[in-house]
Amino acid sequence: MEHSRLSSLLWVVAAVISVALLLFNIAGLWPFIEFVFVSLLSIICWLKYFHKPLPEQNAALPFYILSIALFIILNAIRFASGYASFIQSNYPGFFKQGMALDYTAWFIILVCFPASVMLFGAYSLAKRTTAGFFFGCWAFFYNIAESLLQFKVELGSISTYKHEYFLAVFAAMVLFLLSAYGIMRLIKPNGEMIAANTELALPTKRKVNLWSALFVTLVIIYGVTLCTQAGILPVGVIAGSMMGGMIGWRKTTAMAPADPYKLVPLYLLLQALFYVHVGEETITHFNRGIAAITGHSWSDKEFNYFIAFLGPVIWVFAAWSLWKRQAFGNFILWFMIVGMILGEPTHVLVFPVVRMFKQGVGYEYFSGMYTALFPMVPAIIALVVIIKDHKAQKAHHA
Amino acid sequence: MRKFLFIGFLFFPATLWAHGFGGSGFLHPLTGIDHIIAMVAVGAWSAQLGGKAIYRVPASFLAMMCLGGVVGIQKIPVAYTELSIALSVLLLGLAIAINKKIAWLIAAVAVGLFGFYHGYSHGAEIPNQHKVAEYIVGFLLTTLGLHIAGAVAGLLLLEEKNGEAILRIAGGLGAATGVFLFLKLLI
Repeated sequence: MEHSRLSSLLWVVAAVISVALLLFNIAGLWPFIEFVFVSLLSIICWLKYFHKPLPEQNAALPFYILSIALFIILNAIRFASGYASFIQSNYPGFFKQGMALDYTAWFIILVCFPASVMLFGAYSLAKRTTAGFFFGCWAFFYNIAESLLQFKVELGSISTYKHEYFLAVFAAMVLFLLSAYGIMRLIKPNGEMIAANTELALPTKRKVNLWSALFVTLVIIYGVTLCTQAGILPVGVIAGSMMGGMIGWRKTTAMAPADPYKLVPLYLLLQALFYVHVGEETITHFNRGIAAITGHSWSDKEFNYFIAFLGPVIWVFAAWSLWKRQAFGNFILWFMIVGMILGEPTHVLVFPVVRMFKQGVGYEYFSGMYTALFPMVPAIIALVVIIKDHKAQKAHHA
Repeated sequence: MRKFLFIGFLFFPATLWAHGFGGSGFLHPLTGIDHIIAMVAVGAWSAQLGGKAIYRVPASFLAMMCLGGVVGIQKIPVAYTELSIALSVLLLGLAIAINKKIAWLIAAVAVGLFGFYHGYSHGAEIPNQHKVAEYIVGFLLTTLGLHIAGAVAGLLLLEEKNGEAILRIAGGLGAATGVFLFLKLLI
């Protein structure tokens, strides 16, 4: 066994054992068994197909990204159905005694943690690292396990479960099929590679303008809606980032889409770090912090739908779109770059300062502060890559 | 596959904001899947019809919606509002699915009728002591945004290979939602 592969294997085994113990101690039997079972299966699969040439992992990447988006969709529907309290009251023996599996605990342990692992795994897979294959298997097996659990929980309690038109069962079914297909693509890749920009029909000016019109319209609708719900402060950050992103997109990647091999790994790393940040915001109730300084009430429910579920679904889906070199993915990449570089530091520089002036308190912790700056790192690197590539293209055409 | 992105994009506001409108005119059109589908469909259908229809058909919807809003605010009784809204979703979806070229005037009259009922629904739900003009401007602007989103997404789809077929399928899905909404009200 190669030195680097042995090293990856040892790191993965150490991490799996540590996380399993952590889950057993804080959450109980159910999360522990699921994690250990999925991880063991993934390690076995990884060892069996260890010899595969690394670049072929790319064949499974689009399915991997879509499965993450679908996993978050499934959990958004579960949230609407009151899944956390349902499993707590119907399967009490599976969770640690005395553990209150409220929304926050459920979201952090059973949604944010696995989704973040999947996103870090997506980065690893996109970078074609040795551990990428393990993460690929882990995410697909985990999603299959979650699909089966949904069938068991919802269809096994047909009269007591709060069905949302059986949307969760439908989502679980699609997730199951997508993950099963993803495993097949990981084990037997067809060597699909992405065409270079020069081989593609590049977008016309008219198309770019139409996309711009669509983005501007949606930014305005989104901005007005968010303003009505959360006040001007978060709108300034989000809508401002969107408009800044659109200018950046039009100036650079609108006519020549970004190189997916360079940008998708960075974007996925950004998303992984951002979802960890969303986890911190959820634990510390960012919405309540904003409500306290703006005077606009922003309910937990609205925050959870917007920020913890539906936003991330769109952002993760954008990674798939970026991989396919679509305008949507390229625009969202720019929005994220601007948002992370200019928007996220507001957790450190603006919100606590506004609170100082409004409430007469000192500079204290504000929700999301500790993890706000990390997504900036891949965002800055992505910005540098885009600008370098754009300059190189301009020089090539000159 | 990539065309489905457009369809997803068309409907993403639906899931985003379908949970309470807090008394704001801006938010009311976004509070129900029926309103959103109908308004996006108006834009998409106008793009499909092409020519002058692209702005005249949505303009008719907006004008009649304004009228409907005023009637709703005055609490003048109008029968079968919810059924008419469900029917509008069904018929607009069907119009996109059939993709038959008709004169813009006929389309504008039909769409205007639907707009009246949608406006009535918004107007009738105005919270007490809310500024009327601000409320009406709010729902008209959001509706305009949804029309533009539908029209632009429709135009983008029509530029794609097989885009026309995808747009028709999207219309079919809209019509199916209309059937569901219609049956939900009847049963």
